[in-house]
Amino acid sequence: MAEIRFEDITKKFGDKVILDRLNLSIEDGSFTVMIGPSGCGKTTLLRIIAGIGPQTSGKVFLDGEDISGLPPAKRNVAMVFQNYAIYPTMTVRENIEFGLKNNKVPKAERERLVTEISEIVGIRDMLDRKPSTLSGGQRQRIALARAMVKKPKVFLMDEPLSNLDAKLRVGMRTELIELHNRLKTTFVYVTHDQTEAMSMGTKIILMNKGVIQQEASPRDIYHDPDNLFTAQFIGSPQMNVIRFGDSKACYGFRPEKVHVHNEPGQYFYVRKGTIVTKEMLGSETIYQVRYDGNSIMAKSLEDTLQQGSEVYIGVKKENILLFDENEQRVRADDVRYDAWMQRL
Amino acid sequence: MKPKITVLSIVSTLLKLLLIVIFLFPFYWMIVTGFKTYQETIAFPPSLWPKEIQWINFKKVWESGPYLTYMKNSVVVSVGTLILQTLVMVPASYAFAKFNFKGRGFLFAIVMVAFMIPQQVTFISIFNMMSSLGWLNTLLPQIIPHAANAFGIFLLRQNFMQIPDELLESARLDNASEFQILTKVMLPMGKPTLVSILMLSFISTWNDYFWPFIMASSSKVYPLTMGIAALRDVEGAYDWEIIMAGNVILVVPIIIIYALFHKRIVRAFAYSGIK
Amino acid sequence: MKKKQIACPAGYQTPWEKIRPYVYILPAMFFLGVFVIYPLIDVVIRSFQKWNMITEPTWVGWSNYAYNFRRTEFKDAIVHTLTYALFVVGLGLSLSTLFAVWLSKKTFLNNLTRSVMFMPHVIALLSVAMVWAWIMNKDNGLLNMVLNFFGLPSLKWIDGSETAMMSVIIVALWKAVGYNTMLIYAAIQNVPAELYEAADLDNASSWKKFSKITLPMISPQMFMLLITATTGSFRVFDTIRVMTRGGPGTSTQVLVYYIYKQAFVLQGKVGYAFSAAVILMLMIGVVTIAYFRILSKRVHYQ
Repeated sequence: MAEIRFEDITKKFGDKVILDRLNLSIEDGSFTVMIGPSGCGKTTLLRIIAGIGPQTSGKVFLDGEDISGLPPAKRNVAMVFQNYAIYPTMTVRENIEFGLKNNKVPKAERERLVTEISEIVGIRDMLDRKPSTLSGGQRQRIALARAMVKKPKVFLMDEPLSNLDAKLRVGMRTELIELHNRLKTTFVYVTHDQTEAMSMGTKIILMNKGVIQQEASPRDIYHDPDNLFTAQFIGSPQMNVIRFGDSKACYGFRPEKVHVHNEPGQYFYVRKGTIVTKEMLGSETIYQVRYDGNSIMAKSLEDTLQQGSEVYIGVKKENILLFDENEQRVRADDVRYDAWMQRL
Repeated sequence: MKPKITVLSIVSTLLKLLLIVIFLFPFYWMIVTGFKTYQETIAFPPSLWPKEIQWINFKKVWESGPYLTYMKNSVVVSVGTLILQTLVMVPASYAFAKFNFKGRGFLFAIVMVAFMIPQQVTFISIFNMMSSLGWLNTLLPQIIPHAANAFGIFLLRQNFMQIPDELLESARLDNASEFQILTKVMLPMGKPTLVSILMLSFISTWNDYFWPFIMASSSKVYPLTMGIAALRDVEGAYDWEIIMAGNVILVVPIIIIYALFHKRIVRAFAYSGIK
Repeated sequence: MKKKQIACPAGYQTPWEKIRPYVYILPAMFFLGVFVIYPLIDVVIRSFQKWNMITEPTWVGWSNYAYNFRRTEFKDAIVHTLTYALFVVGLGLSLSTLFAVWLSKKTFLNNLTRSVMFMPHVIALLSVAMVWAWIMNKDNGLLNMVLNFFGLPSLKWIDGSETAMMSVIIVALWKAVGYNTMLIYAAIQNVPAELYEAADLDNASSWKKFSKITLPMISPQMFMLLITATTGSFRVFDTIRVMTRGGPGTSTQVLVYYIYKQAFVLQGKVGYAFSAAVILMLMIGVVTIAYFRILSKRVHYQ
């Protein structure tokens, strides 16, 4: 059982305030992904949990116990670093059992754990090699094994896949999901890659400039964003956003919700425009359509339309999201909702 | 075109061979002279190989002073300096590289200033200090003043700074004590640099003449260099075969080590010079 | 340079954690303080005192300095030191650069030549001085025999006041040139090959490639080498002591030898030695600062 709770956490580097009185809970057993642009404070938060970059003020609780003053080793957490932080002068086995040795785990028990864990992550036949002879993916597995062998309450991962090549990354993603299902411990995972966040997280925490923008399941964060930042950060290509005249308020819709046809169809929102560019991705095609001085992206399964041709775009009412002048979402239960929809 | 290039390359090759002779021959000449008789050293034309190998020259050298003591002193001073420097240098470099503390910049600046101040300026004061401590008849004045190797601290700090912080953080999460972090993580990674520094330190202490010349007041505390220098200081100092035989004792071990490890030694020196 | 992030936790430090880095540097700072910083201050203070190393010293102001500067022997010592440095550094670095470029390709012969040239650097200066004293011996030395063989007259080398300085300089060059060559060679190896390939496409001559690519690219290392070589040659002592003892007359007496003589050979003149040591320190400082002022703008840092 490991629920993590932050209470009024503030972190400063010199005069620079990274986190200002932040409060947050991370559910026990969740695969929580913290995502956001660089400098948003996500790694800082992770390091606060680990105790390797403690907060300036505020408290951290692990299962209701205040761990704010505890040294890293006493927190019962394990961390996988972006550059893996494998000790280059030790063999794979020595790397994995370093923490066990320091914790005075008996030799027989160590042997058993190392064998068991190395079996799980698939590095059993490399135990006596030096890390320098191994590939990036294999080093990644050592880092994982080193974290797992301690049987921690919480796994902390700081962009662990970012140094792998694209193909390996996809494979490791699946393995991490399986690992989480097997261990059922709390995973806290930091990334700037939204695909990783969407595919692995049971919960996503989106941060920007030290402030939590939204905390929700991948589904909700995608389809039901709280604000414009969330709406635009998640999703590729980005959500199309168009202002209401001169006001700062705006409406938006995702590219895959745009239907492009030669004829105007039965949609709530219909406009006539011109295809400016056409980008074939194989299974789908992305059109850039210009109308009324706006330029939007549309993702379509069909690739029959030609560049330069005149087309009609259509969006259903439930796929249009409204945002007020403070960039906050205006949902259907808001008093302004109907009036704003009428203006379209 | 072609013949001209060939002529040039032949000249170039010959000049390189000449360079090799210029730099190798004095060593050869030292060794060969060390095996000649006095008559043969002053004979004209000079002989490139001794008519008869004169081992007796080495015996004469050995009997001219307490050479076993000199050798022992050289080893004690070189190894003692090495150990002391390591004990002082490693924690200091670690702290300067990986800890944030008040006054770090200023204190490190002192290290760099110390690196700039030569012993040729301060030796009289240090001599007086050693004299008032009553250490002059011991080996301590040849060891203790060299305990802090400012340049070594600088080099090792540079090396430690290259080690990613994540490695230390990871070790802390692995419940490693500070001592274990230093010995199990930092030192194994800094080993090549440390070995280079110690190699340079050993060679320079072994070869040093100026410092023992000032600090060693009796043959009891002479290192090998002082003993060899004394061969020329005695009366009738022109028995070159004896002097050269003495130098062979000092130089040949180093030449053998260099021949075996020259790549490593050169890298150590080149690395320390480039930064 | 990127600001270094520090691994040590910033908050929640126990008292031991707070003083720990100071404990780690304490031995180093202690020894540097006692054997470098304190003696330096001591030298400066004593340079204003008259002292025979036994009785209480008395304050004499600038008179030690005045005494030194009145003496031809002292002024000569400075001139000798500067002459020695000029040749050893100027000629030494030019030759080394030439050799480094000439031997820059990694062939067997080049590697061998570089390694052999480097060897004198690891040998005791004492032995180097002694073997050269023998080779340069005016009666039975090899060098004079070679000169005679070519029909040239013998030279007195270290025994002649005209030739002694030159002889000492030759020995210093022989000892140092291989080391400098190796450092410059290592620097040249770090110049990216693409630069030369680009220059080839631009039809650059060998000289252009050297002066516009090689030299600027290795300028940081050359700069450091220049400083260490110059300050190093100001500290020359071993060769002088072994080969000439400052003679004949005072023709090779350099500053460190002068200091040594005032302090240890001529009793009761230690104040003169201290003030001369201060002058030596000033010379080293001035030259270093001058190099930085004049040359550091020309040094190309990447």
